[in-house]
Amino acid sequence: MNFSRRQLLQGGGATLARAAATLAGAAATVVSPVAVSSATTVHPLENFPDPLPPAARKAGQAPVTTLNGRSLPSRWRDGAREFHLVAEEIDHEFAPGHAGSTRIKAWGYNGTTPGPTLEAVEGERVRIYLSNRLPEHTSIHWHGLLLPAGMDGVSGLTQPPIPPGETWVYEFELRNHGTFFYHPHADELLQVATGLMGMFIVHPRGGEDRVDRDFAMMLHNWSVHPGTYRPDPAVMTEFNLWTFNSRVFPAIAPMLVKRGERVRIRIGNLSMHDHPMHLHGFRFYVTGGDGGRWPRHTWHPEVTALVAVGQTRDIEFVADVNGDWAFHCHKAHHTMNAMGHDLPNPLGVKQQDLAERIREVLPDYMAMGEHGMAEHQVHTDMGHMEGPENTMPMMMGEGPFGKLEMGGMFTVVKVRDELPADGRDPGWYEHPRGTQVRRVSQDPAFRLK
Amino acid sequence: MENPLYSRFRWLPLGILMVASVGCASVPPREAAVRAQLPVAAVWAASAWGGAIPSGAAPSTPVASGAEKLSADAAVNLAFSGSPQARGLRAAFLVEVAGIDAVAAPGGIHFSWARLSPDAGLAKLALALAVPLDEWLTLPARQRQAYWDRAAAAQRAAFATLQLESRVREAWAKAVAGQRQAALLARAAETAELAAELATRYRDAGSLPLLEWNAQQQAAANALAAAAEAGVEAAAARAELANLLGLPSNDPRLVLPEALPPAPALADTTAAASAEQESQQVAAALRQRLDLLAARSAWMARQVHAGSSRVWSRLPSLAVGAERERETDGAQVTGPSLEAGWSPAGAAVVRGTNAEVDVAEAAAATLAVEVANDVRLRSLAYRRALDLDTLLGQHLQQLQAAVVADAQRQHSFMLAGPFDLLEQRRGVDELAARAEQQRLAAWSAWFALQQASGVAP
Repeated sequence: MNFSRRQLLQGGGATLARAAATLAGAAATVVSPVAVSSATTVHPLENFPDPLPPAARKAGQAPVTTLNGRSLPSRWRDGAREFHLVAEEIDHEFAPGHAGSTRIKAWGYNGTTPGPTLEAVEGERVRIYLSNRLPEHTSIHWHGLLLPAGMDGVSGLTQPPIPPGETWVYEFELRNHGTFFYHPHADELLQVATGLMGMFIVHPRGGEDRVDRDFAMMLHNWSVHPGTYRPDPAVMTEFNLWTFNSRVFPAIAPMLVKRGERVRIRIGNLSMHDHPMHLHGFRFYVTGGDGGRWPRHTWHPEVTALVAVGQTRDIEFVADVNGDWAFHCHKAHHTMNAMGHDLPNPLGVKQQDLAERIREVLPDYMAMGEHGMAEHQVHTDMGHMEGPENTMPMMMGEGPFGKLEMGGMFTVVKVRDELPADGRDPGWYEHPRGTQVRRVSQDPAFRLK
Repeated sequence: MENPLYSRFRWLPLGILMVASVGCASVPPREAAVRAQLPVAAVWAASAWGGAIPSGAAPSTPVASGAEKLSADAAVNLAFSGSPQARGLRAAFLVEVAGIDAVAAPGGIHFSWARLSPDAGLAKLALALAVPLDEWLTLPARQRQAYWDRAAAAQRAAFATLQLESRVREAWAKAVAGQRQAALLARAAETAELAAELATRYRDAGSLPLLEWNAQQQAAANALAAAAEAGVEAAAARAELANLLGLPSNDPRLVLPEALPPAPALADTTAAASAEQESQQVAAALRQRLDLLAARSAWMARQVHAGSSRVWSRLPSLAVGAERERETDGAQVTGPSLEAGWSPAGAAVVRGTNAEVDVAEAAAATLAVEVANDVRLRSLAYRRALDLDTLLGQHLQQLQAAVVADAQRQHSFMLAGPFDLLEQRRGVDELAARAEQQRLAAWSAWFALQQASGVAP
């Protein structure tokens, strides 16, 4: 198959070279892998090859936009759509371009975590090569897909584990459509905790109601202890990074939508917590998930949809109001980055005088939190409070009206009458006169105690 | 450089040289050979009292950081410039030497006079003068024995002098370390009190359960107790130093440096180098340790004594002289006299003195074994103490400082609470106090090694 120069530039050259060398003997039969190490969202509506050929698209099937990622190119060969995934250790950054961004040694597919999104059409036969470049054996489970037991990817149960250095192939017919994901089912706790996952979108064979924008995101949680560079797989509840597609706000790409477009957001949850996903500004319908697109009479309006662990959910809405609309998990600490959970609560603690004395033994000591936690972002943004090694502040992000005091699972749906043709971020929304909250008074008697 | 300590004891080598000159006049060839093997007087004159005791490694002594601070050398000078301890050492030596001189004195002269008065007439007068021949006959042997007894006494005195110097230096090190530890633990206690006060603020704000508040109060109390204990120990160490210097513990001269300098480093810490250095130290100790030299001198004295006993013990005691008497009728008579005495104990005396030689030889041999093993032990202890000093004084303290910096950063990002941070900060001072303790241990091990090797600390 052909790849554009841009694909190659975005791809990890090393990955390509390694895989090409490995597969030299089988080059005639194995599709070349594509590495997609860029954190930039690849909008299918841009001038970029659709992973599905136009003929495969049915009415209403919009190409999927994977936030901060992309879909994996495929090829048609011998009656099957072929993909090639390479599982390997990668360098990953949770907030590229932002000060103090946490970096880790993660495990991913084709250079990224999550791996690239696989897109295919119900009824197609898929042939998926998996090259194991990890230091231990692996497998892939096609979560939610109906397939022969021998293709289910459960190491030890339905297949032998795939040893390091080997390439195995899964091949099966896509019997059901919907929003699915894939992940290892060998040393699953560790391999998922370190980032091995990806979405698998199966479009219905007969087409579906029109969707103009089709976004996809994997929810995940990570435990990267301050000063460390590898996720800790042994953590059960006290995770400190909460991500959409392995990024934290404000590094999560916004969802750009034209006013009036019908939007679908596909959400898969491979974290250890359920997430109540809340969209501001719109009433959406939960229209499907692992079970495909649900019949219309089962759709129900919501503003918050709970996405359970190991589950996918599709929500749809018509973006009929311009604005910058928040979309986030409503567990508040999931919209924070690393924060301590066993700290004594400083709220209301009067210690400014004591802090002076403490500074005699700890010159950098700063008493914080007496009036709330918001001051934390002020201090960290000003840069006069150094944080631990490889650790982001718990609150980040600057909006048009100040600090957002967010992190983790938070992004913005930007609805505009027009969008830049090249997919650029249109910037912050400019509120029409009279449509914005305003101050009406100030109590001159109020003083902070 | 001449050790000022020894300049105050120059009277000793003079005495030793006198002893040597007298003793050498009548030394049999075999004993002379032994003397050559054990160059007592030469070692003495050239080393202990000459101010340059042979030493493998140049000892480095702690130096005070400030000019007005009392250094270890200054403390030693103070101790030997009139302290009761030093005066006692000198007096004890003089007592012992006087006793030896008395035993080795030449034979005397016996004189008797009697006046016997009758009821009437002239009194009878008797005048006798006798020289005890056995005392004069044994004089050369007794003087040779005295030579070795004096040597042994002087070597013991020198050994005690070195011990006193070592005690002064160790007391100085203990006082400095104690003072430092007390200061560090006092600051740790202050930090703990800040944490306890902060806990009270949190509790007042309704943010801290009683259990955690109580934990902070208890930590502060424990830290205060540790600081108080360290303060008392520092005062005790200071008092011990003052005792050795003969000063009141509040003497204004007792201004100590803030901390101990590093103990002397080993040039080469490889196993091979350590083994080589250790064997050299053992050889040097066997050659120059003064208590061992004293034991060997005592052995030689016993040998001389035993030889004398073998020659003279079976002979009767003899005294020759002259007597003159005036009778009551005025007639006077004069003539020579001879007194002889004999005891059947001579054979037993010989057996006893021979056995004393064996006892002295065994004591010297036992001490030699102990000295060699002591050097090996002290060498090992010093290397280990130095390793720990390096570990605690450098690596762990740097690590703890890094931990505090990291805790500070975690606190800044609300990842760690203030009590964790303050506890880590307290740990800096507590670890530094522990490191100072280990530095003292290294110095103590150094002093012990120097003592074991027979060189000045």
